[in-house]
This record gives sequence, C-alpha cells and structure tokens, in this order.
Amino acid sequence: MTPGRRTGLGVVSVLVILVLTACGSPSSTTTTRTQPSGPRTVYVAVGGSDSVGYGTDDPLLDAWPQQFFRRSLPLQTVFINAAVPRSTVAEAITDQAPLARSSRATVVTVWLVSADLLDGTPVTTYASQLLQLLTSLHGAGATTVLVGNVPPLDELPGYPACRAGTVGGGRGLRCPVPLPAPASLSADVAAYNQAIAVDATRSGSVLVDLRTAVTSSVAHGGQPFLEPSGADLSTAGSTLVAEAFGDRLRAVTRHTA
Amino acid sequence: MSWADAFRLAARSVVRRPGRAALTVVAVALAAALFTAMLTMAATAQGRVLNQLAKGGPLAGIQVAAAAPNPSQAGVDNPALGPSKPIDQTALDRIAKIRGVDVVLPVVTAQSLVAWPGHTATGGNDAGPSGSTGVVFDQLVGIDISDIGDFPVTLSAGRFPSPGSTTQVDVTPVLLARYGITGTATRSVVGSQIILGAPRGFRSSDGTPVFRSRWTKATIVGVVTQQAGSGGVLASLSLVQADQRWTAAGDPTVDPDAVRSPYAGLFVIASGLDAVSSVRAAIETVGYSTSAPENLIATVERYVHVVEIVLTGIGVIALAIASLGITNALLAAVRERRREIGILKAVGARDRDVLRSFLIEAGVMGALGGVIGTVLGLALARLVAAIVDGYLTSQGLAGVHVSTPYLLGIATVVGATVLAVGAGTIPARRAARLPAREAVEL
Amino acid sequence: MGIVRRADPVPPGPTAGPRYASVDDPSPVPAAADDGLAVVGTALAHRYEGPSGVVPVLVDVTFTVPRDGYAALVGPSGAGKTTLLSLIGGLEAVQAGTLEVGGTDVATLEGDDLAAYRRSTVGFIFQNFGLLDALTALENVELAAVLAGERSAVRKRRSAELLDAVGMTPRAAHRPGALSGGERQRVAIARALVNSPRLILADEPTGNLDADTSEEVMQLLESLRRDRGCTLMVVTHDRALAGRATQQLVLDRGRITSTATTGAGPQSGR
Repeated sequence: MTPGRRTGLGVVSVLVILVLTACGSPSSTTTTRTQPSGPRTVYVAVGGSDSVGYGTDDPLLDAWPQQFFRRSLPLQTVFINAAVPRSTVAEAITDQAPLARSSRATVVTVWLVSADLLDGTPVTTYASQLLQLLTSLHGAGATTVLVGNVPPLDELPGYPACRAGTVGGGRGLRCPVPLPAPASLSADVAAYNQAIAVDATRSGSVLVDLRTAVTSSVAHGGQPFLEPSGADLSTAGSTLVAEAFGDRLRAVTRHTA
Repeated sequence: MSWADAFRLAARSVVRRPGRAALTVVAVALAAALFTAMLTMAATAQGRVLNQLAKGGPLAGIQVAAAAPNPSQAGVDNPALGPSKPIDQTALDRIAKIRGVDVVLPVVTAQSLVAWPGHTATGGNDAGPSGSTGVVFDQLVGIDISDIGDFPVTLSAGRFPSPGSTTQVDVTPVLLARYGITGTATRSVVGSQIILGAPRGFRSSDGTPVFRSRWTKATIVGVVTQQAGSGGVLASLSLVQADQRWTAAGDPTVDPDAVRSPYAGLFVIASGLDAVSSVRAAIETVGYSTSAPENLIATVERYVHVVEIVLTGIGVIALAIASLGITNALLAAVRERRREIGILKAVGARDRDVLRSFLIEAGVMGALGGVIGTVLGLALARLVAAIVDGYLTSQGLAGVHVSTPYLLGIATVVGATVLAVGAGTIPARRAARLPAREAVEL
Repeated sequence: MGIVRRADPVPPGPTAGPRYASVDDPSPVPAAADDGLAVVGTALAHRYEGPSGVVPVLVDVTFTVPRDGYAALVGPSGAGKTTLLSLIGGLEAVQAGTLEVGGTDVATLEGDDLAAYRRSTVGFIFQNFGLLDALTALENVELAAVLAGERSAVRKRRSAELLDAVGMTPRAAHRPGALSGGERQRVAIARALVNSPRLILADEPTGNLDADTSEEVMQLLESLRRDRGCTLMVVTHDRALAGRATQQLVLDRGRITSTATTGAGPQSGR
C-alpha cells in the first residue's frame, strides 16, 4: 500500500470511529427500581383532646406530641398521632392501641387523664385499664412507653371550663352533672396519680410527672397552662407537656445508653 | 517526484516566503474560526433550547399519566387526559416490553401535609386543615433519585436528595411561593427542616371518621426549577411509597379520594427521538395517555437546522473568500517564480510535478489555516458560552454547556484544505504550463 | 493516479547514428555504453514573434557534434547561440529542421518523454546558475534525482559524491544566497551531472564569473566530461574559452558561419 493510500485510510478510520462514538449512546436494559426503607424510631402518641392539639393556636403544629416529635426525637422518626379527642383509657385500648401495635411503635406516649376523671371512672377501673393498655403496648415491642400523670385540678384540661360553665358544643367536652366538689376531685386526682405511678412501674413504663412540672411552672409565673376557656391546653401548655416528656425521655436514654 | 518529495518542496517554498504565507494562513484561519465558532455556538444553543424543552431530561422522554388516552387528542404533545386509570405493576411491565422503550421510570405520588415551623402560608387559600396557617396540602412526588439525570428536572439551588433517602427532599418554587418565598430568596431555604404528614382515614369504634397522619421530618437539600408534576416536593421513592402505602391502607369510606394507584405515572425513555412516536402509540394502545414535546422538538430542530444552514453558508462564504486569497497569492507566486518553475522544467520536472507542488502549497496553507482557525473558533465559542452561562445562572436559570465538536473540527480542517486546493488549481495549472525556456533569460 | 515511484528509463543510447572521431572523419567507430551522445542538427530554423513582428533567430543551421565531443558555440550577442542550445536541451520546441541527439529526433519528444529527456539525457548548466533559493546546495543537486523518482538514500549519496567532486562538501548545507558565484556554478555543475547525462549543455558557464573562477569552473567541467564520458557543448562569447573546445561552431545572426576542430582554426560553415 502506498503512503498516500495508507494516509487516506487512516483518516477515514478515525472519522468512522468518531462518528460511531458521537452517535452511539449506551442502552440500558428496561428496568424499574424501588428501594427498601425503614425508620429507626416509630413514635405513636396515645391520648385525648390535649394530644390532638385542641386549644392551641395551630393544632397540627402545636399539639404537644407534634412538638415532642420535632424537638426530642431523631431526624429519622415516623410519628403517628393516634389520639382521639376526649378519649378514655377504655376507648384507647380499642381505638388507639391497635394502631400502635400495627405501626410497630418503638416509642409511645400515653396521656389519658381528663376524660376518665371528668367521666367519673373509678380509680380502680382506671388503674386496671391503664395497666392493660400499657402492657399491651409493651407486648407489641415498644421499647419506651412514657405515661403522663394528672396536673393539679385547676390546671386539668376541661375542669375549669366545666366549673365555669363555658363549655362549647364543638369540642365534645363532657362535663359531669353535677360537677363534683373540688376537694373530691382533688382526691381523685391524687388517687389517679398514685395508680399511674404504680401502673408505670408494674408495666416497665416511664412516668412523666406533669403534676410537678405544671405546679412548678405556675409557681414561677409561667404562661397559662390552659387556654382561656379552660377546656384544653394552651399552646404554652402543650409546649410545657412536650418538654416534660422530652426531658424524661432524654433522662431515660442517658441512663440506658 | 513522490508525494513526500513534492510536499517537502512545497513546504520549503512556503517557508521561504513567510510573510505572504502567514497572511494567507491568517486569512484562512480567521474564516475557519468564524465557521467553527458559529456552528459550535449554534449547536450549543440548540442543545440549550432542546434541554429547556425537555426540562433537563432526555429528549426522547415520554410522560405516561395514570389516565386513559383522550381520543380527540391524538398526536398532540400535551393532550388532555381521559378518565383516570391506575397504573399497576402489570401495566408497567407491559409498557417496559414495548419495542423502542429503553427505560421505564416509575413516579409515585402521595398526598401530604407540609408543615414548616416558623413559616406562615400566605393567603386564605393556602391555609391548611383546621385553620392551620403553617401547614398546607401538597403532593409528594417520588422517583428513583439514582435515575434523576433521566428526569425532566433541573436544580436552581442545592442538590438532589441522596438516592433512597427518607429524610431529604427538594422543593419547588410553587410550594415556596405559598409561603411567600420567591426569586433568589428561594435559595435560602436549603438546609431548613419541614415536616411531612401523610393523611389516612380511620373510623373510630363509635363510627366517627378520624384522620391521622404519618409524620416525618425532612431537610430541604435543594430547589428544583420545575413543578414536579402536580407536586411541590420531590423525594425518593422510599419516602413517598411509605407515605402512599399509609394513605392507601385507610378506610375507603372515610377517604374515598385517597390515591390507591401504586404508580401516579411513568417516565419512559425511548431509544431515540425517532422512536418516540411509535412508543407513544404503543403505550396508548396499552391504555394510557402520554405526553412528550416531540412535535415541539421537531419544530425547533427544523428552525435550528435552518439557522445552522445559514450559519454554515456564512462560514463557507468566509472560507471561500479566504480561498480567493490563496488563489491571488499563488497567482502572484507563479508570476514571481517563472524562472524557478522554468528551472524545474529544465532539470526534468513534468507538468504534473509542478502542478502537484503548487497544489500542495495551497493545501498546506489551507490545512494550517484550518487547524489554527478551528482552535481559535472553539476557544471563541467557549468564551462566549462562559459569558452566557454566567448570565443565565445569575438569573436562576440552567446554564449552557459547550461540548468539543471533534467532527466539526475535522470537517473544518478538511473543508479548508479542500477549498484551498481548489483555489490553488488555477495557479497550479498556470505554473504547470509554463515553458522550460523561462529558466533561460533570453 | 499512480503513486508508484520508479526511476526513469535508461536514457536513449547510441543505438542509431554512427560515432565520428571528428567532423571530418567519416569512418564510423563502434560506440561504447558510457559514451556521450552525438548531436546532429540539419537545417534548423527558429524564430520568435516579437512586438514588431517575426524575428528570425536561427536560419538553416546544420552541424554535427560527435560522440564524446567537446563543442563551443561562439559568436556575438544575439547570434542565436543560447537558442540553439535551448533547442538541443529540449527547452525550446524545434520549429523547423531536424535535431537528433543520440539518434533520437528531439522534435518528436513531448510531455513526459520530453521531461525525461531533459532530466536524464541532458545536463543543463545555466549562465545564472539556475539554483532554487529555497533549497540547500545538496538539495539543489538532488533535485534532478528527486524528479527522476530516485530513492532517497541513493540520491543523497550520489549527490554528496558529486558535491565532493566539485569541492563543495563544506558548503552542502548552505543555500545559494550564501554562496559565491563560483560556488553556485559548481553546485549547478553537480546538479547537471546527478542523473549521469550523456550530454552536457552549458550556457555561458563563466559569464558571471571572474577570470580565475572561470578557469576553475572550465577545468572542472572538462575534467568531469572526460571522467564520465559525456558530450559537452558550451555557449560562450569568449573566443579564448571557445578555443579550449575541440570543435568551434561560430554563429552570427542566426547562421553558422564556420566550424573548426582543434588546431584546425575556423573554417567556412555550412
């Protein structure tokens, strides 16, 4: 082959290669892909109207379980608010606990006090139902169950509204008729708190002493715990409850770490 | 005389008269630079326009909706949808098997509450449920982030979520506008945290309907320029599918509108622009409505092609003018080198030896000018593209990218050489016909 | 288009036409393979078309230069010497008459055959040297061999040998612009010999040189002619120079007025 013909072939070869690489595109096999997922923390809130956020400025954002979720739990947390307004413990066993179990909750908060108290549920019944509830939550694999107790009577959501007769129809607050005397209700509050403490211990749950937290806040002139009608928590009250639960969770986590 | 010897002789003649050769080469180089720069910029502009039409995705991308085709909308780029029709795995598998389909990318959507602590949604219409002003209803759009390059989405700030991440999302300007965040301020949201809540309908033991949400936290890692379908939040498949499963498992009597179709849509990439039409027809036969900017792309390509033809014409005219310079220079050289040509003839050069030598001279000047001009032209195109890119990105738009058009460079050099040789033909023939007696001063 | 290099065919040899010891000796002598070529012109005529009309340059020129001859074409300026030499060298086309070189009718040559004749049969030496300024001395010598398609190694070696023979080896890499007149003529002589021509034509080889240099150049030319066995024809206006040749052809106004051989002095021309 003469030099000129060799050169010409070389140029043509380079051109062909360049055209092929310029025009060609890698073909991929037709494919669809999904990826597995699974959060590390599943938090379910079991509660009543306070846990739904009634009384706060922005219930979806200000409900205390939502605040607890945002501030005290890690980024990779799924939060389900199972709370039902005005729920009693007995109702929660059927309405809320199954959701916690099916969600495989690893952290559960339980704050069910107002409805049973104002409904007049006997403390023994309350204690037995609460223990049943807490045990069932542990039985489903929850590693941490935090249970809140009853704040002082004057700060019990719903009580000041019932006492003042300012209950509206929209929030479903059930006031006992006649309203028991404060001394009697205070005794009930103390008995409930005793029962909650016992049940917490027996079930391996963590007690969150809201009574002390609220009492301390009131004594130090903190923002009103309840919203003006007294039927529900205020936004500040929800924040206080969220912080109390958060502090307790951190304490437990530090202790077990 | 061999080609190599003719080349050496021609090269010596060129080097012997460097000034004239340099001027001729510069003329060719300028023309080649103009030619190369114009076509490179045209190709870059075309790529940018088509990229804009395809919204950053592949040109052969087809969007498949969870809806039946509308018979009155056949052949339309973005047809109105027919009745809703869920896309399940069977349908996806059928579409994946269509001839001409390269990749099928599922799109999953989930209705979501979007809560942004510290921010207030503006306007009554944007207020979320229960009168919440920090929460809005929106839609999560989930895609396989590792295929993000194939989707028609482009970033204006930050980055895309990591593939498989359940705690990273991108948001769109439409969502941010609901919180009163617009323009360059959208970039400031990167790094902030939002809360997403997938709603689900329950019925209490007493029959009361209740909605409970599955809340997750996410960090905004980027802002995309396009609305992700009808959604304001772009996330990974993992995140959205988990939310979708939660919502779909709800009581249908409480939430009959919940999305229960596994896939909200598909993004199908055909094997090429040529295959888009047939793939769309096949998908519509399967029973789903499709949209793709194929007609628009075809129209744009036609117009851009016209522009390319015009620019090519201008470039060729410039090269032809430069070639005339070669003709002029060589004609002058033939006049000046009559004696030299006569000597060559006198010592035995054939006519074709002289012809070859002059043609090679012309070709060498053309090739040299072509190479220099190509390099200059590419550099000029890159400079202009850098300026345009800076302007576009400062406006929050996608920039431009200049590729290195090797084929264009080769074509320019070859073209300049061929034109130069053509231009040198007349002078070369004139030189070849000179009689040997020119060597003898009579 | 052929891109096959091949050396030129062997130049036309003395296959036709007898060899003469001198113009007066009609006895043919058998030719040797490396002898020079006989040049025979019969009734040659040549004219130019000038602005004022046709100008006759050669009129009825008849002559014979034998093989290995050494002839001088002498006469005043404008006598037609260079034109006659150009016809013999194939630089001008024969318009009338016949011109045979080594038995070949030069008038019938054209195209590639004519180029081959100039390249390999004839070695032409010009008055103004005829070197290409773009090439070095060695490359100028090589040029004729390049045109003949010689392989690079072979032609370089032969060119170097020729340059050495003319004493120009130290200046081989210099361009003509850096050489003196005498040096340039030496290079031109070497170039004329590179393809081993059988006929050397030199047009006023010393016309631009001083006396000493002229003597050197002529001695060189004559010795090379002897060594290589060529026919040498020299155009000159210098009678003394013409006397060095074994044959003098005197031209005046386009006609040969006399011819002479060595020692015989000028005779009436025909």
